[in-house]
Amino acid sequence: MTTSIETPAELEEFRIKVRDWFATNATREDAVATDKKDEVEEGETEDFLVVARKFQNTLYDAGLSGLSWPKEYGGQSLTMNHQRVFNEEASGYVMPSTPFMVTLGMCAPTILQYGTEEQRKRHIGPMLRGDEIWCQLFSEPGAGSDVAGLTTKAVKDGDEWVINGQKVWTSGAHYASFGLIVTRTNPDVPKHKGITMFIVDMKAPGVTVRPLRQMSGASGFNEVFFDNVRVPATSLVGVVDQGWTAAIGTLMNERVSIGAGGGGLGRGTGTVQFDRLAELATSTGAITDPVTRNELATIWVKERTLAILGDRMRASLKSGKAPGPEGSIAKLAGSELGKQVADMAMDLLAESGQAWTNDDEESLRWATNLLASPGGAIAGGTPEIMRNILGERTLGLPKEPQLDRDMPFKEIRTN
Amino acid sequence: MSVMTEEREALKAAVADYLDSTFPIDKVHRIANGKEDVPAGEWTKAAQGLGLAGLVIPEEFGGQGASLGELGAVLQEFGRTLAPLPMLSSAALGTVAFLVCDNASASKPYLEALAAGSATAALALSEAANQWPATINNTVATQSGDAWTITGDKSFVLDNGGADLYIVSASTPQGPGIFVVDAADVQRTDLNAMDLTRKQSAITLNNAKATPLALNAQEQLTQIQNLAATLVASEQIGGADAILKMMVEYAKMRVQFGRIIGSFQAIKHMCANTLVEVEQARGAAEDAADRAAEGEDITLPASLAKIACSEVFTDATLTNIRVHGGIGYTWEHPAHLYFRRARSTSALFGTPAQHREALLVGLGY
Ligand SMILES: Cc1cc2nc3c(=O)[nH]c(=O)nc-3n(C[C@H](O)[C@H](O)[C@H](O)COP(=O)(O)OP(=O)(O)OC[C@H]3O[C@@H](n4cnc5c(N)ncnc54)[C@H](O)[C@@H]3O)c2cc1C
Repeated sequence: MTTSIETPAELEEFRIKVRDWFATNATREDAVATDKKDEVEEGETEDFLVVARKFQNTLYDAGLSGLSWPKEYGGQSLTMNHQRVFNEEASGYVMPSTPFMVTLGMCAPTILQYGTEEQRKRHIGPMLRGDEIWCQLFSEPGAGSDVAGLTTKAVKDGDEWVINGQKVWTSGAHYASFGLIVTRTNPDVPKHKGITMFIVDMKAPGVTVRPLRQMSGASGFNEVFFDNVRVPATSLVGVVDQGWTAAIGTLMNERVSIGAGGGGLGRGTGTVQFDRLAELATSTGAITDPVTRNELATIWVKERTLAILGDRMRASLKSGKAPGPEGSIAKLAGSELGKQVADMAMDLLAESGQAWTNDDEESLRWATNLLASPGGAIAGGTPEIMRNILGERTLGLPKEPQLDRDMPFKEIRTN
Repeated sequence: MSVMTEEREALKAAVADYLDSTFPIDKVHRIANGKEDVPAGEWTKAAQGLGLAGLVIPEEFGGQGASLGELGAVLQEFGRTLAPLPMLSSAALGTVAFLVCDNASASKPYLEALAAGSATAALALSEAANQWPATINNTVATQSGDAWTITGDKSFVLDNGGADLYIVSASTPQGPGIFVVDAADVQRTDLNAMDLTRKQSAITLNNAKATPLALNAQEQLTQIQNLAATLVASEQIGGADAILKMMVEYAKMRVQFGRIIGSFQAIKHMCANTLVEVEQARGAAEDAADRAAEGEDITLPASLAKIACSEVFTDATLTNIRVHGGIGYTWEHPAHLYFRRARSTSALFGTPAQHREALLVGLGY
């Protein structure tokens, strides 16, 4: 499938290296108590951030992080077949890498593609090593699906830019050291033409991060306020007023990441959700029910086809192409699968899905999963937006009539 | 989103060129309606020109020695165009049965004839509806001396209106066997096939002379059926892809309420959903064919491919008719040819429901 440039012997040697590394440095999934498992994977509390960092550090030091990333920036310049081998060996182990998903799946590719040489040299290594966690500062209270409607302002002042405004739903902002922010630098031109992207230091004076509580009870995302935050001109990513192109790049990477699982992180070759549901169905006895069996098999089919699609997307990314709008395919399929898995678990659990005893970790985990599932469909672009993108960009269908496309931004109706 | 080697892309493109010029959809439609015949000698021509008939037949028997992955790619093109040549029935299903049996001395003359395009083969395993994998109920092979004869019935045989050779499964004292029977020794009855572009038959064997390819062949029978599911899925995904293009093309030109209908989200989202399904199913089909080529056990991948491709093809062909409105419901429009093909292939070599059950059993549940 992929054009391979490595010999089978090299791959085999690599496989043994990965296998040994995991055996000594990682925890097997079945060795972790069920309730702890998700926390380890989520990495959303400080403790788990420490765990995740340490994991990523060791992975990097063993030469196993950034497998397909260029060597000159700290990667390994290996092939997709190495990545595939890595994924195969990693399956069955806990991969506490969620905190790096935005960093490695979205921000690092953007810096690699649109950043300056100095930015690449300065940031990509630390990102791959897990020393720098980044966040994506795109959405605003008034601009979500229509992110080009953003109003956070950046104004040039000597060698610096001054940023004012508010971002929202920023995942990981509370532990990120840097953010990729999109700002309005010219309100007199149509909305897509006056946007500029910067790297912002999250500890800079004037940045205020306030965690927001999600319906699941967790606080993974934040609102972030910018009050006269000064960034140096060297933090500009790409070209002034042309930041929309870079933003689209980030978003396309995001959709591959979310849908196809962990851009560059290497996760999800297996059928984790199916395995968990099948276990649950076995324990409730529903496994003999034909309707349950039919649904279970459907989930296996969706999970496998999504995994295959993810592999293929990563393979074509590696063969030199930037991700196209096709990432939206994985994003859509992934959110559909997420919903079906959550629903099926609730069907299987029946009453114990809605009320459970202290020691019933299984019910707690599925209930948490259910309450987190709507977020996955919204983050990175809603299903409606994904279908618009696929219809318009991939299939070439005409856009809906757009009232604001060619108007100067300052004349557009906003929230 | 197809991830293919350059050689495979080139082969696919050459086959596409040939099929587009030889079997444009209007022509396929006229053939389906009995208003025109498949040009005489066309299959032999394709065998000699593009090497299609012997694509996966080893070179020592006059074939191309290509892999099952390449065969899958070619089948996608046949599925896309509905070209009424025995590519799936003979060059894929019939031929693969010989290859799985791996009996060079018995197969040699047959494989040479198949590769040359001078004979076609058809796979006749099914005896009754709603069985996956097919079981042998009443077809019996009897040996006397060196000679074998078979008595029994097979149905749902994809043979494009008549093959020269039938590959038949039959019970023997040594367990299930796989045999070749000459068309001359077979009584063939046309079925009324919903799919107008590919004929099917029921055949009766009455002490028919048979050449054994494999005895005690349960393993080979399973492998042949897994491959059959995989190859049918490859053809299906080609059809589904053609349907996606058809609906998108129409959505880009039809105007209502002063707008191109494709600019309505309801229509745009139908197209986008189809795209999502097609790309996922394509991965499943190509993955199964490539794994088969690598010699891996494809029990699960084959079921996965057959489920995914059957379902997307079936859904897409219905969505396509909806996107077209009234014109899509007419006899003259090709939409129904694909709709029929989708329903037909979905039922053959295991329905999605049967494969789902097989999957769970295969996974240990
Ligand atoms: C868990 C989570 C994490 C997130 N993390 C981040 C992050 O790290 N960084 C970041 O920048 N953002 C993040 N987001 C924000 C996310 O990208 C936005 O919430 C999303 O793009 C939707 O925007 P909105 O919330 O403003 O909803 P709106 O855009 O107001 O959408 C409301 C409804 O209108 C529909 N709609 C809007 N436009 C159209 C249209 N053209 N056609 C049809 N329907 C339409 C939508 O589909 C939706 O149903 C996160 C969100 C969630 C839920």
